[in-house]
Amino acid sequence: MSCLLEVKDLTVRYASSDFLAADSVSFQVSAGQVLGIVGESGSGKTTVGLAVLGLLPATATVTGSVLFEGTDLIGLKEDQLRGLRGRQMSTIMQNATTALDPYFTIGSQFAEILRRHRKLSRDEAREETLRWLRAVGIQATHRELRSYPHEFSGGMNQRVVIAMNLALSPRLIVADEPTSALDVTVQAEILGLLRELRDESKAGMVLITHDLGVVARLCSQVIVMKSGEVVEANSVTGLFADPQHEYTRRLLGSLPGRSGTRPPDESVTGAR
Amino acid sequence: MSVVRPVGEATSAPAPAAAAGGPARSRGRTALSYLLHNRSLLVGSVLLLLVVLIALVVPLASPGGATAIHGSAAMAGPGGGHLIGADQFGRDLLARVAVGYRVSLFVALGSVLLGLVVGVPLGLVAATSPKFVDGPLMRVMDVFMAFPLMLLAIVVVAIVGTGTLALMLAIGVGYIPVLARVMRAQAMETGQESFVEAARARGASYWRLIVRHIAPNSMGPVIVQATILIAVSIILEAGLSFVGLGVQPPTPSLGLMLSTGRDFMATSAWQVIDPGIAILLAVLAFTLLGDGLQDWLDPKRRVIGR
Repeated sequence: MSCLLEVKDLTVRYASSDFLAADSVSFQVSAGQVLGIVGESGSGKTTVGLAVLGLLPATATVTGSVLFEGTDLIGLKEDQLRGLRGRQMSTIMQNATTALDPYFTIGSQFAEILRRHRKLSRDEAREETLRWLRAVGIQATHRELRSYPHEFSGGMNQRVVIAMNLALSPRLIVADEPTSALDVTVQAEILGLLRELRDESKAGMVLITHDLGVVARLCSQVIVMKSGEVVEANSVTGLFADPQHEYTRRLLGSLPGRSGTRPPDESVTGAR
Repeated sequence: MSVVRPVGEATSAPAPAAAAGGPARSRGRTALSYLLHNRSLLVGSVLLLLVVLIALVVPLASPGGATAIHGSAAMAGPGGGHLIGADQFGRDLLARVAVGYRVSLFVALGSVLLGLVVGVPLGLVAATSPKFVDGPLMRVMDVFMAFPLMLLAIVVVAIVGTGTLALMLAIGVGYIPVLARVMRAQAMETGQESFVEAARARGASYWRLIVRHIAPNSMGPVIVQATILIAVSIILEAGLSFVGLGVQPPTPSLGLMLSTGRDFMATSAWQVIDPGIAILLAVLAFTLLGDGLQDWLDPKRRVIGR
């Protein structure tokens, strides 16, 4: 398996903070593989995702390397990064409703992306949009194309975003908490879609989540982050069967129904 | 060659959206039925229509009527040959109000347009630029904002002279910082939205982000502010003309009519009442319109209605 994304010793510090948001983070993602990054809030998992996309704010100091098919993205100019974004790498965000421009209809913003990235004509783009929306399970007609994001539910918007990602077929997708803002039944459907996205598109995916259930269903490799550091890198089966780090054990222990004997005062954050 | 199959039957219909006040209902609403719910917009547009109609139609119906002198009709009251009376020279007040409206609206629209054309790009650039561009730019705007609009206008008139175009410039200069500020504040907020980041992550360029995503989503308050500034312009134009710094006779202007009418208030009050009401109507029209637009321009509020 060729290595699509290789992150080596990635270290990020925000100007406003004394702490490292990411501390010597290293991992690899191959095409068609899903790497999970788990950790609590503030563990630096979103920072790593932003660094991979080159979307960190200008106030952040970044060292280390993010090799995307051999090209180091760190230090790349904004317009070089722009060339990669879209067709080469893309993102799925937590709240799909706010990730879509509220001012334009679903149809127009979807079609615009297709026209710009794939140079389709207006009519071709509209047909493609319909096709992809149907592919993610939205019974799309020309009526739906004229809807605004706020007229769709969160789950439908997340489908739209996933459909956009499918249509662009990027090599790498960074999904930051793609299911966290959705209710449980919709989560299951979106997970199913992401799994098909993984199987069919052959894209590499970095899945950032705090939900170990999501990891279990989608990922093959997992890294566990805490306070900016990777405390454990393991395969999914290994992680659940034989967690190496004390923190991972506690994280697993925090899953409801897994360890009913956990004393209530034993917090996950308390682990060292 | 569908890559992904539809997942389950739960996804077959956009049921959740329909429950949330959904697409079907919002599309069912026509522009007219929306207008009936938005009173400000309705009354504002009707008044504006009236004002524009007077401004356009009356001078066409009686060419030269605004300056034609009829000695016999001097200081005539409403009714008869002169619908809302005549001035001390027997000039028809309605015809003069109509031409006054033309001047007023011309100056008002021109000045606000100037403010928009300069102010909006400045605000957008300031909002999206690093501090060393944003800071100095906005400090210059602050200096302009420190002067009351009227004072600033008088200064400009003192430099470039009187007349319609000068008025436009005089009033418009004061609007540049106002509109730039509104635009900047709004654009900074919009810039934080995740759809902007999402667009960036899909490869949108700086200018594309600004023009396609940030600007449209920030324009609402700017348009509302601009509409209200049109009303302010009408008052400023009348004020400047009143003190002799604006439109010069024989061109009729609402402010000028008020000014000369003062001398005849005791004997022929219509000479001040007519232009006074005319100003009131126009200002009210734009103020209400601004209020109503505020609701209309927000797509979320538009659907929910009131």
